[in-house]
Amino acid sequence: MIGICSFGVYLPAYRLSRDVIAQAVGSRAGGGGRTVANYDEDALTMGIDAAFECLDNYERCFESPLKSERINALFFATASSPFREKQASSIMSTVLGMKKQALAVDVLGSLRSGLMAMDLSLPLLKEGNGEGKGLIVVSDKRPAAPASGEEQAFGDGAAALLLGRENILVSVEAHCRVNANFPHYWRRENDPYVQVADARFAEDYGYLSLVVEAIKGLMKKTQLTPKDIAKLIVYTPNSRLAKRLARKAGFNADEQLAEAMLNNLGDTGSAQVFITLFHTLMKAKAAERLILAGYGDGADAFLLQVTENIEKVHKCRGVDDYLRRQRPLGSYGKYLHFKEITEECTYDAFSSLALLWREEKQNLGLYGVRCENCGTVAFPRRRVCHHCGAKDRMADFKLSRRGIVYTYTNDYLYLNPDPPESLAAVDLEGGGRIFCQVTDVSPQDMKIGLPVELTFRKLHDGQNIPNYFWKARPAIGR
Amino acid sequence: MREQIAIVGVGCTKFGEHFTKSWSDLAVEATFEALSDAGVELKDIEAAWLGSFRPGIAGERNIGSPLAEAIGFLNKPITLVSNICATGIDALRNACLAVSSGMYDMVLAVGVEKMRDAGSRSLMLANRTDGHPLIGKGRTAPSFFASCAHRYFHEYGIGRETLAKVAVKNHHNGTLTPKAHLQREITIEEVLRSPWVAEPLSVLDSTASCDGAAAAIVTRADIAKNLRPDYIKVAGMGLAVGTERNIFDRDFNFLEFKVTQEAARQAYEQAGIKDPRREIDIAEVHDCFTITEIIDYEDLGFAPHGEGWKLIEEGVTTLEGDLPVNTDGGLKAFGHPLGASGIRMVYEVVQQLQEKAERRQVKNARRGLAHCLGGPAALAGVVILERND
Repeated sequence: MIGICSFGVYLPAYRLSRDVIAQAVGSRAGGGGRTVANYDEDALTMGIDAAFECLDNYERCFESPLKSERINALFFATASSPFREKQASSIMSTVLGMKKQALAVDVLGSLRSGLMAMDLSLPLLKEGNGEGKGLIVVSDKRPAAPASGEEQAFGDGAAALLLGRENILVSVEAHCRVNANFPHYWRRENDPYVQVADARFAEDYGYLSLVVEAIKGLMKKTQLTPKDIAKLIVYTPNSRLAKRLARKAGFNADEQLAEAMLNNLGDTGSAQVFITLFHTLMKAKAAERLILAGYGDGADAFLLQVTENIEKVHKCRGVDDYLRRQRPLGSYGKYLHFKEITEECTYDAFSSLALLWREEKQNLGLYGVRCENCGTVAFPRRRVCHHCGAKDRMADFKLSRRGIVYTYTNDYLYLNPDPPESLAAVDLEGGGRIFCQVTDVSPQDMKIGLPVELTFRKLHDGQNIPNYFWKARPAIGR
Repeated sequence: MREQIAIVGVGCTKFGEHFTKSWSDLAVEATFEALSDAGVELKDIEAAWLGSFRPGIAGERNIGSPLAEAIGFLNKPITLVSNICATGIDALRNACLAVSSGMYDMVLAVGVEKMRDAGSRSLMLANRTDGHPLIGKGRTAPSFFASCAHRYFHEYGIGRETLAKVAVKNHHNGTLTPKAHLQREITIEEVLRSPWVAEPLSVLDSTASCDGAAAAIVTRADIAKNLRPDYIKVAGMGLAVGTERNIFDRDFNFLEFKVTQEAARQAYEQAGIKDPRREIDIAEVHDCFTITEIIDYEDLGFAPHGEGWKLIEEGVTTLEGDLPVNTDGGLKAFGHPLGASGIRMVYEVVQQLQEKAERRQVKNARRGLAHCLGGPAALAGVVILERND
């Protein structure tokens, strides 16, 4: 049996009300709000947050950590990679500390990229020895033209799922794939924003036709009927369309269709269907059958079945935990700033590629050192212990991503698109201290003793490459 | 030190926003004032130590030539000293060591900084740690001291009002000092109301960025006594350089700075000082931010740890108090052109010891201290000066 062993969601802290957008651009408000990635987030950083959440949730459920060396394959699925050329998964695998022999690959350019990654990973897991895991990280921060309908409709977010052959929460029972050339959403090489086909045409002849074909194909393959299915989890650009789809596929839209939370989150692109799935799993019962259906350049439908392990998922951090930390983004101007639609106000973006490469273990892997002679932990890494003077007696020491604010400030001098810039000295669980920026926080919430988590963010673009590093954010509650 | 070292002349420009003057103009004014004060000529000077964070025209000129060019001190030994905020005091220290070694009889130490040619923020922003593109990125000079202030508040229960009293005191002293940059009295309420720089520090808790230069002529005491009867003795010098990465160190408590403690220990030992609170008459200490002055009191041994704030609350460090601190307004009101500050402090201590401080003169000042602190408490320098009678 192959299935999902763990999952993680990541939703950025900021919510932009659709009223705020409508007021700024003079359009009609769709109601509710959408998630907005902070200025220091992109599809990769959100994906890494979701990946860590997935691994942490595994530990919460099965009470033993999943060592990243056990991940044999990593798929980073997105329609909005921060790179046009270069694999973001190579950065992600380094941050996660995966072994170099593991497969790490980007699956790009489609809303269906996450399901395509599942499709790709299943045969790999079947061939494997049973111990190995596949990690699929799905994330999107899709650019929408100012004042367009997509600007209100889209949201930013990420999800991750761990696939394997033991400790399964939901088994993958069957799959039906429909490959088709239907241009519904696209971005050409130099398009700054997502292009969309005429909705009346694309919804009927693209979305409804292809997704129904995949779902019906799956039902036929498995000899099941809609009555046998507890929930239909399906990607949708809007809730009205999802209901039409459910009815057309023979389901009861009111009872069987899983809520995609578009009103609150927006359409998080390729991550959407997984965020919906994981939210559904928080309330799922053992033995229930689910259909997971995605769309984009065709459609995929997977039949899933919930296992007895599902009773453990209440220990996981899920969508609700992220919704509780939401912060309203008060102005459309700030949103444009975050989206780099207006000129970004950063400076002194000095960097060195050789330095970044040389220090990968420290800066991406979050490894300090610990003196084998006296036990003193040092981060950043150093060769000579400042405590006992021992030279080259330092062993690698992995820092915890959890800590407590020792002291802090909110700085108004440093230019930052979301001023003031909060900074803190954070004492990390198990040893070591990091002095770093604090993100996703209101200045009035900063205080000594605040529990924080480290989060991987983009600091700047020195040397014309994203310079990623760690910041702290207030710990997300359970 | 092998020889008794003396300061026979000092000079200092007015500090301020010198948009009409160049780096060279400032170097010329400070140097020639010091020469004139000593009653010597440039040809009597054998070597020079230039303290400047960024010498010459704004930008990086890591060379002594801007001083040679400015004052016409050509084809002579000039050593460029750069040690962030302790640059000036370290230039003086090296000048003293050179005379003490017997190599030279009379040398020049000059600190010059042209901050305002580089824009309002650029020199104030140490926005990363030790030049690293990622480590400590976003850390500014105020953000470090603001983090110290929050921890100090947390540990010792004081608030912004106490810090504000440091600013009020130093602004008052500035109004009595014609060469000081800022020349106005302020109130506690103004400090509390002024805009944030880095919480809990406001604009009026902070030094202002400005231009300036200061110079000192250093010689041996046996030569000095033939030049002027009131030459000033250098009784002790200390320098301690630590790591800028102390902010990542779990043992660093953001409340006390070992670099100051160690630099002071070296200087006190040389000067034979056992109880600095009683044995020092005036002090110029590094008050880049109000909290810094309070932490300095403790690290310099003027008060026990956690009680430095009491000195400001009790008025001990005002001009009328037992131990007047920053009699010329300090970095806060006199200004802080990085490389010039250490020698500016020495200039003020000399004025006080020679009883030339006019309206701010402290009675019976016989021994004074100058203290500079740089980076996130990464280095400190201390000098003890004494009258020779």
